[in-house]
Amino acid sequence: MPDSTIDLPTKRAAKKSLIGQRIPKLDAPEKATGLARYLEDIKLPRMLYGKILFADRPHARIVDIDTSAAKKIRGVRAVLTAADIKLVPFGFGQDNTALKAERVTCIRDEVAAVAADSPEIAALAIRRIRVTYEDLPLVTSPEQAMADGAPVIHEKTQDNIPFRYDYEHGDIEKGIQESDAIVEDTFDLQRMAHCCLGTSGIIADFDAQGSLTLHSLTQVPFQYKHDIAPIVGVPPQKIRVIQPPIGGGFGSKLDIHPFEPICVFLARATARPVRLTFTRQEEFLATPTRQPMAIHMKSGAKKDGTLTFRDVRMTLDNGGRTSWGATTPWIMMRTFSSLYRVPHVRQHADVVYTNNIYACAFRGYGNPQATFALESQIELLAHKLGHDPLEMRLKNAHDSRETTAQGMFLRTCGLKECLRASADKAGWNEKRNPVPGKPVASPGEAQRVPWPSEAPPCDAPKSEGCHGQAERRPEEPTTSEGCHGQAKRRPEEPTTSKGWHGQAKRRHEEPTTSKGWHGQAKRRHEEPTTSDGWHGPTNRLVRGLGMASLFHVGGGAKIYRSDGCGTMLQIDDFGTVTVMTGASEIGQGSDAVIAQIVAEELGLPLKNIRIVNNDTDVTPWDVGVHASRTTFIAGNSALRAAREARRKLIEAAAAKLQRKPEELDLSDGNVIERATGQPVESLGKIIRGIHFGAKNALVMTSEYYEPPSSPPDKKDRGDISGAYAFGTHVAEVEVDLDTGLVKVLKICAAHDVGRVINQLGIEGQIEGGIAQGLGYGLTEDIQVDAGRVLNPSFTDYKLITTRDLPEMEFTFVETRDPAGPHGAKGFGESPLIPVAAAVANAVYNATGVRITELPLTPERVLQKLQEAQV
Amino acid sequence: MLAYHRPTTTEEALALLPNATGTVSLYAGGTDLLPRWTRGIVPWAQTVVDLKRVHELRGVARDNGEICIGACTAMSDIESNATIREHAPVLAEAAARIACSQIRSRGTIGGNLCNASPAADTAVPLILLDATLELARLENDKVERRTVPIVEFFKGPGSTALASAEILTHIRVASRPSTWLAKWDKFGTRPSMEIAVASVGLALDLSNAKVQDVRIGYGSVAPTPLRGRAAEEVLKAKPLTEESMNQAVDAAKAEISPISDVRASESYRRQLVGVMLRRMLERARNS
Repeated sequence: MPDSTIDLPTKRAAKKSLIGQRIPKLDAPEKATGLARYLEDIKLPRMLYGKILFADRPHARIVDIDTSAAKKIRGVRAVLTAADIKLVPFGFGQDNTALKAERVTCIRDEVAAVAADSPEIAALAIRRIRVTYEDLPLVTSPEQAMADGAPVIHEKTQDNIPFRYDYEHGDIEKGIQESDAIVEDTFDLQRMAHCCLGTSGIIADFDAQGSLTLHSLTQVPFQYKHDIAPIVGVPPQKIRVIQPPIGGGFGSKLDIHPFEPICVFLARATARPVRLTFTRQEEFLATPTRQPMAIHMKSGAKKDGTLTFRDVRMTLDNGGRTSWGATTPWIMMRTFSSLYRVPHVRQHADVVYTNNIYACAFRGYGNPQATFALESQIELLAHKLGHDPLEMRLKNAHDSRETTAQGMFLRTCGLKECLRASADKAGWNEKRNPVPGKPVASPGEAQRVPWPSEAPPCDAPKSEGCHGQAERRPEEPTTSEGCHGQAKRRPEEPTTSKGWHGQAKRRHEEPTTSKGWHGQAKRRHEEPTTSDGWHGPTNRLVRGLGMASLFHVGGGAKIYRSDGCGTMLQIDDFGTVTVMTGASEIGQGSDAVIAQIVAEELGLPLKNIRIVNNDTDVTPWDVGVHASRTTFIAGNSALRAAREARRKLIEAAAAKLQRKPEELDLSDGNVIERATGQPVESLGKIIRGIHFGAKNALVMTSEYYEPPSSPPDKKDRGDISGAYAFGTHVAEVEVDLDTGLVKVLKICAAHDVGRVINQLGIEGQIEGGIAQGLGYGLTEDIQVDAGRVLNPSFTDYKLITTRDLPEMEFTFVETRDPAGPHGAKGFGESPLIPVAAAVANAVYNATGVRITELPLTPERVLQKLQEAQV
Repeated sequence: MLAYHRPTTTEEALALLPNATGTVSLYAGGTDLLPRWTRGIVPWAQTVVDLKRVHELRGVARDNGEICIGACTAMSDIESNATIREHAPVLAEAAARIACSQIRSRGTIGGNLCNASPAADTAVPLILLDATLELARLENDKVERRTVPIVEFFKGPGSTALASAEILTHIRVASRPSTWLAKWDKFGTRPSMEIAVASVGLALDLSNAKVQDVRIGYGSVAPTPLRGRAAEEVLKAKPLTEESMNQAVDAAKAEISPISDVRASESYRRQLVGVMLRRMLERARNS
């Protein structure tokens, strides 16, 4: 058998391959109908409800906690403070404890907890706990924290800088000397909330032997089991982690959060199962965010556009405690070193304690921040040197089989194809203003692109292309020339009115005649009395195009000694395959991808595949769902387990039918003759023959797949991932010069995904990534003042809604990575990473004003325009 | 909550109010009250009087040339009602811009007004329409009604002219001549489902190339929805000229009193009002 590349026998090519199809998530019916049993739907016998008292003081000494009134409330079963539990430090910085004993260092610090018969009683009891604090001097910014004589937030870190990251290749001074143009900026980036649809929660349940079952939403069940054990004083072998359907992760569930051990302590104190879930407000206040940071960056290029150096100094606001988020510079340095060829790179990062809420992992893991800075400066350098930013990027882009300066071996690299494809789709040469801020024509003039409302109806036949192409595509040569599988999607709402305003055209909300996923929703009731919006286009609207690329791990990231994933596979007597995978499902779609890979290998319909992926007592080890690793690593693991099962089945069939194994194949639940495609025996008979025949065996296989990556060396160089993902987004925007409003009209996204396994899933990932990226770029911002969160609700924390999405067009660059399952690379984080950078570059192209802060709220944009006197 | 009542007539509802236990909340769509209660922004009322079943309070009727809107009429009904769309389209537009369809089919126009948010989306259109509000109370076991002009109804954020045992029953607006144009617009920080950072309404009768009649209103830029009397004064009885439009914009910026908050700064709100009013005037002149 070939190792893992796509190498299907030619005769099988005639059969419709599952790879590249559009497969709905396996749990979609449950989720769509409301039958999915989320954590909040689980009610164990005798279960109590937990609730936490948060400090609500950013920096204070705890003088006294009086729980007597709370304990007197009928129905309260336990009230715990730090005095009642054994305090074991935990977290990446070992600076956190479940409950806080002496001092609180941010408003979300957990001070006391209650378990009660109902959530209402628990809430009442929390309100009755009286805590006496003595406020301590507040540190609200990294600058303040690093200043001489600043208050010390954690005793063991006298300088308030718990972590520093340095990376260097080449020689910065030399790079500066070689440069004909140098730019220098400080990029200021905000906090962003994960906003998982499902809020945080856990159920802790001890059995009579003292074994602990955790119904947990963790993204890293095996690591979790290992890490929570010492905190709660239960040996890991007595801990079982079951994950109910998880309503989104995005990195928020990589850490052990204090509420989790707290719930265990409550369960132990009451000897009853306890469920603890967050309200949305608690979710905003007491879960970590994306890292806010200031990136000071200087970079240069030669006259011919060759990049020379990047010198980066970053200051991250760590908040009052440390989570995994503190390690994001470790990923950011890879973007600075290896997105485009740059001979001289230096990065220094200070991760600084403050009394703000803290930050954790978030889709992209620092990469959206790094990409924003880096791609902004490429645009500035191109402008300074008079180059087309596209050509400049192409000039510096890596190629396949190249090793980057940080030692990452790019088995495949489709960056150039992504750059070209996204630029082509977006009309780069026609629509871009050759000089930023000097529009070739105002949108009011006829030759400009029409307003969305005036645009011709979406060319429906073309937009069905992705179906057609997906079917035509499977057995093309493995090189990546060209871009396969295009998907085009327009938002459901053609913006009939002008701008964000005047959206008054009333629309009946009933479903429209959308042609499946793509077809544009056209049938609208256009009532006559509604407004055309007086706030319409004027000569104060300018348009521009901007692009940004991304580089990210696409085959795991070797942080631990193993970055592997286990699979156990068994086939029952009826041809039903149970795949037990270590890979967690947090909504990203690994269930369908793994089922497709297994079904494809065993020639079985998808409905014959069952995925078990949520119980550490059953599933084999996996490092966790992060680093865009599941399709690549769990996919490879499942592929190999299935391939072994396939070998066993074909051997048994060959023996029974007295044929050579290579003459046989599996298809549609049958053993077929490879040459003719004719069925010769049903697969069920072969399986039962193995089970009840002379061999008396079951068809069971197992695999532990470890990617071909290695941990970084002492200089942080090394090939840390099994594959690397690339992509480019081009954004087209329109800026209202009087209000500062940025309207994103279209995003053309091209991604090197290795190969599309599930096109429906991958399109969903891009759409979600664009929505989340637009939120990061335009609207989302956890505002913190004096350590307090000002907008802990969806009223004032603005997500981009489906109605706000621009037209989107996707191109998949299929480089078919030799290490990936069927050539696929990991993809989950990629589509979010370049969005904000592309939008900011488009705003620059439209207005000539470079904005180095996010989000690009109308007020901020207007202020910058006015400062620049546009 | 200690008591929940669901009366079917205005009289029955009013009778419940003086004798209710503890704090009382009139409950219509609940789209403002429920999140505030559950988030702990305001304590749960001890007595809730649910007005949704009071028949008189629902629906839209023509009455002596006026449109009479029941206070418990849902936003979705305001937005789709043929009479409103024909005779007061600006109100239908505003109703259609509130939140999402789920909220619009629960939230009511009376609730939008009684909540007395400076950002209430229907308030400014009703100012343009010179709406009068009908308030009912019980006196000697008889329902007594009084009317209050919309501009006098709002007393401050969350505060209205309603007495403690009084209910807003109807909103009345007069039909307008066909020469009367009215537009309203709001600006937020996101395209859809947005709370206004600032909103502006303009109604004009521009017949004979002169401003015969004008109404201007502002939302989210003062403690209450505000009528723009100073800007109106500048425009009255004159043709719309560059000069008069500039003066109106200046007057508008001067007569509002926005605050800085998590959504926008005071100065940005002032600029927005200027830009929005200016654009509306230009469009009116060119239409």
